[in-house]
Amino acid sequence: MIWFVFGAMASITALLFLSGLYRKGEVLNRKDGALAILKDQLSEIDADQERNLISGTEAAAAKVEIKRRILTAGRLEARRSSGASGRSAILASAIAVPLVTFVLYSQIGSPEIKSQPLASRGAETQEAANLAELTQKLKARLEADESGGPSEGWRLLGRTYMRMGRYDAAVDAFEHVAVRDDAGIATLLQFAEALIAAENGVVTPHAERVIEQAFEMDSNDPGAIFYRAQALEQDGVPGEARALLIDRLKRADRAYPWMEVFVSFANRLGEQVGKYPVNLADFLPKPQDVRGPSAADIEAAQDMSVEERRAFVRSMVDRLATRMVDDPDDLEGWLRLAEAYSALGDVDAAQDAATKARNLAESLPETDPTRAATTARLDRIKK
Amino acid sequence: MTPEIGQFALILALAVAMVQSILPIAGASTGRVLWMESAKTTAALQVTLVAIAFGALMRSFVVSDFTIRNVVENSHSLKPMIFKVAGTWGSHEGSLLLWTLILVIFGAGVALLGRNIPAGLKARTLSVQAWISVGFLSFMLFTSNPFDRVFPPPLDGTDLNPLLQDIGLAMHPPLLYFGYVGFSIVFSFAVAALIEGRVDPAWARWVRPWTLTAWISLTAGIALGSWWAYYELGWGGWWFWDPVENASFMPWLLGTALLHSAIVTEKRDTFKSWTILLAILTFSLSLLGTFIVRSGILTSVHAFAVDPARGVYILGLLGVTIVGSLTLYAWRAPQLGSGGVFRPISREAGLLLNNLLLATATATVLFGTLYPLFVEAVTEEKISVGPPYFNATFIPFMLPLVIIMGVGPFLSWKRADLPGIWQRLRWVFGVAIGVAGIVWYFQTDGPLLAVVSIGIAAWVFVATLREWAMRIKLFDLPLSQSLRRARNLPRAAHGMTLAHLGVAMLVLGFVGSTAWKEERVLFARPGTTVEIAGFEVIFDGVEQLRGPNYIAQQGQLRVLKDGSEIATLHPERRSYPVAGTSTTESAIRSTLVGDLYVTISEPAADTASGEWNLRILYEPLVNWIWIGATMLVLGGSLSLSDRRLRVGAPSPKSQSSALQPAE
Repeated sequence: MIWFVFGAMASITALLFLSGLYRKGEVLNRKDGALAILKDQLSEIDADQERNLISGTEAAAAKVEIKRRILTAGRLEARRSSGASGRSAILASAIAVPLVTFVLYSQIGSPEIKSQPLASRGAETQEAANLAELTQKLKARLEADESGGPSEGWRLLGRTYMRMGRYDAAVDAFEHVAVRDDAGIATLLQFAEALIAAENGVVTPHAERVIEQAFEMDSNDPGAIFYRAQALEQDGVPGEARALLIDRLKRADRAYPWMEVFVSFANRLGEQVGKYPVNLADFLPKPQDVRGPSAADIEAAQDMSVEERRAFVRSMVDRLATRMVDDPDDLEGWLRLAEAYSALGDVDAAQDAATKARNLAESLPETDPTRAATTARLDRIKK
Repeated sequence: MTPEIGQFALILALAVAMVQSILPIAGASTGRVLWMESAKTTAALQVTLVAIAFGALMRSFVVSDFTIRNVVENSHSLKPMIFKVAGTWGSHEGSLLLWTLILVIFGAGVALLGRNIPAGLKARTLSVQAWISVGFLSFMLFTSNPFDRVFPPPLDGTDLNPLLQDIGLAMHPPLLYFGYVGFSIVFSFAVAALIEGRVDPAWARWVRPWTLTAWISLTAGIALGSWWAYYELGWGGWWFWDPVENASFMPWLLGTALLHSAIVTEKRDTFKSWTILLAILTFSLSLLGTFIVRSGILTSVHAFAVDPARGVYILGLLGVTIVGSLTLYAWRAPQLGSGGVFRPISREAGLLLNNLLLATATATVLFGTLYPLFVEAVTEEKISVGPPYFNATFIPFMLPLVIIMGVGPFLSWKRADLPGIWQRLRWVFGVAIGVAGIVWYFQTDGPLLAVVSIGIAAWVFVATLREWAMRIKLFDLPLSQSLRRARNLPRAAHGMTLAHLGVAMLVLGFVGSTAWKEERVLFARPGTTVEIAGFEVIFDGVEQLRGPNYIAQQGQLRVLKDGSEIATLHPERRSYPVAGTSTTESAIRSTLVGDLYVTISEPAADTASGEWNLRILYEPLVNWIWIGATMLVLGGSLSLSDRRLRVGAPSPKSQSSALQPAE
């Protein structure tokens, strides 16, 4: 449908261009244009004189002036214009204009996004209204609770407000829990986030106190370190902020999703203090246990019979499986195990490992690139 | 689908504009009628397509289509309908679209209405206009696309600024842009004339209506903006010499010079270089104004550097336009010929002085506006150039200008008879001195300059009336005959009289409301009485009111004059809980003599609880500013409705020498 409308618009434009091909060749030239105006003027002076607006002598003076101009205009060269030549250029424009338009539109247009007037989004607005109502109810219940309301309730309320973009309300909600003994580092950090968001990204002294409190609880926590670095940056010491981030990155024992954020933040800070940018790869632990077969293993395997080789591979896979029992959070390990079982034809075991990998992947944040990579590898295993 | 149709229409308009920027001008130089005439089709197509795009954007605002980033950022489902509509041009992208729409409207106007314009001039003008079109359409599509989409769409928009929800502000940009952008067609005419190498009275006649239209709109736009600031902002001022205001004022000053200079070209076939240069500079200042307001350079020179794509693009456009047209001017202007000669005392000389004074005044405003930007760029220091600078530099140019304005219309073309004019004007001079004396007697505490300025206003006012009376031979002929003469007088003559009288009113308003302004700022409790400008103002207290989407604290003040109550004022302090902001609603007792202007706010300090912060202003004669501005607009419109070519013949006495140069 939309392409039909575009086609119509482009064709009408092209047709209008083409209609210009059969224009008459008569146009006003400079000389005639000027003369027409001057003659008009002469007759106006006569009219003014008749209406007694100007005296005879005034009219005569003006007429002399105009006649002088008529003489000057008469000396203008009246160039003949040719009527019909240049048709091909018009024809070319009639073709080029729609062509250019479609090419450009294909670059910057988004024909796939439908227009969505608010009135047509009833279900969505209803849902938002419901959420708002539920939130309101939750808030009322928490406020009515004489013991101050359960901490988990306030946390939920705060998180909901954050998602709705009502940062001031989120600050109020988190404030209730933050002063309690069971606040915990996660709550403090959410509180700090709300405080910063409410001030459009400015780390206020209040927010800074909350961040410090979280940092004292666990100086290793990436969240606390991130916000602390942000506070340091706004205090005007980007160098210190960067050092804090780099230090934590160095202590990372494996790849974590937050590391990417840390690296780009550190590099942004580095620009301000003139340090070279760092890479995520610099901070990933070097692979220590080579999980693949060693060179000796391969050499040995070459002399083996089919049976022996199969048993050998099996033993390596079992070794990996045992290790996975000890370290069940290793996504990469589960993936390899699933791939290995699948290669051995052990479908059940492969599926089992794949499920474990999938569960782990789903707990990652949506923006983490490993998530997509995992899904892709899992898809390959199924086939 | 609607947003994409808008997007597609914009791209199509760009492609059409590209054709229009080449074919007609090439046709004019090779004598191909088909190419020249294609401008009619393309100009009409451009205006249709950009109007489709504008309509698509407006519809998206009206139905709150939050799949468009622009709508998300500049609208909200709870906004009253009229402000959703106004939101279309409220943002950077939307205002550019409006800018472009007006640009193509003027182009189409010339293409379709300018039947008496020779084909060659018209074709060249429309091609130049299309160059500007290509510049702005591509600027919009590549750096500030109003149809950028968001998916998935957020549930509601983010903008609900109550201060901007004002009808005056909603109408302000379109009018201002009509003026700003209207000068583009005058610029195109000037560049076309330079390319053609010919400027003559007929050219000036063809350009006149377009200059006037642009000037009228710009005048109305500036006046409306100042009126809005006065009533809505709650500071009681009507002009702040703010860079945004200056950006619209500079084209106005030069545009006024252009208007007068073009009259000389039309009537006397001279001042050609002046007229062309003023046309180029006026539009250049319009572009500069757009750049200053739209690039974010005002917030900070560095903010502009952070997101340079837009700024650099528009800076490039600005550079190409100004440098290109001025180079063309330097190259071609000497060939235009100088036209008629004139004596130092003549109408021409008066208008030359007018051009010089207006141009110099523009330069001082330009300097004051750009200086802080240079300082910030070079030294990292943020300074602001405020009213003291502008008052000290601008007024000394304006007062002589206004004095000349009184004499100018009496001067005849080419050579004027000064003693004869003095004969007619000496009693006018007497009246002006008398008025100044009376003001001096009653208001000894005001500055001397103010007294002088009032005298000057009286001078222009009476001199202008005297000139009009002379034209219709009032008192020389029976009244009925004079009235008949007045009816027959060209409308342009009435227009000039009205506009010059308007300037006298403006001066009256400017001086009255600045020199004799009285101000009281105080903490008041119910019962507090304030004396101001002969009024007694009694504060009765405050009550809380609930509006549609705000809570207001409304004060009540009774105004007494000589013991009897003449008015009750209700200033408000409104807070908008959803937007989290508050506004000041002033209460004004408005008369022609002066405005009593009251605003109220809750004192910040806790110690002063129960007391309210009152600000009471008395602004004498302030309404004459809007009356004067209205007269300017009406005068311009009268002149616009006059379709005659004006001819300026030297006075009959010197008829014999009219045919040869005087010197």
